[in-house]
Amino acid sequence: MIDCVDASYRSSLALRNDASELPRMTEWIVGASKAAGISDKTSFALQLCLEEAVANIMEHSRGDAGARQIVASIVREASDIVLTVDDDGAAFDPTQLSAADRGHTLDDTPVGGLGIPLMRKFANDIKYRRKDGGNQLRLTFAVA
Amino acid sequence: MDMQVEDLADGVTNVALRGRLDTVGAGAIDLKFNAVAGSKRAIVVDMAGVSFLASLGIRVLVLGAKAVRNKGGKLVLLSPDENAYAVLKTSGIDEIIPILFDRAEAIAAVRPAQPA
Repeated sequence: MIDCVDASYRSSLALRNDASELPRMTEWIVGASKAAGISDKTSFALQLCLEEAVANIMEHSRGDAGARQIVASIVREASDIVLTVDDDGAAFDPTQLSAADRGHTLDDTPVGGLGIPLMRKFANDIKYRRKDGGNQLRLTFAVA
Repeated sequence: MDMQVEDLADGVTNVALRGRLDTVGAGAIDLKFNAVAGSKRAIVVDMAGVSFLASLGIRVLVLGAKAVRNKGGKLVLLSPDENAYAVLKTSGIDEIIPILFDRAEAIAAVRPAQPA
């Protein structure tokens, strides 16, 4: 699962589209961040973006055309860290989801729609593309 | 995810959360947190033990704050760590649920007015 080549590091994990897989995902990203020598702050950003990306897939990509498998990969190079999340479901671009309007009081504050704004804030860059009949979300983080 | 509920003086309830408030953690405390929010009117949510916070965790906090508010009560968040605070701020939660870093101030912020 883990290969170390020179200064780079890469690791990946395949998950079923099922919430029972989430603890295994958390264990993987925490362990991979540690093994890659990533700072606690960047590790938190990686964990958060992975959590939000996969929660989006599990919420929106369901049914016959939904994703069956999700593959998360992390690659650390000299200057950046790239997290990719691939799934084999019907086209679904989470970057096109509109962020919920932030309310100014408890009464008008929505209780969902926070995932995309969080990913935009905690990742340096976020890109979606349709790839090999599936979806790929690519998030880039600076090496702190 | 662990949640400890303690009744303090003057009708104030301390809810101490510990662990990862992610999708799994939110699911673990959802019912219990809602039950406390639905029955108490002055709640301090001690976040110091929360090591990770994601959007579904925020959902639990906002739903709880709404439930308390609907009864005319108050809920505040106490001492989230730097990362959890950044998540709360990015989500705009700091504008709708008070976030305090001093326990005495947090208790004073929610304590019901005492009869003169």
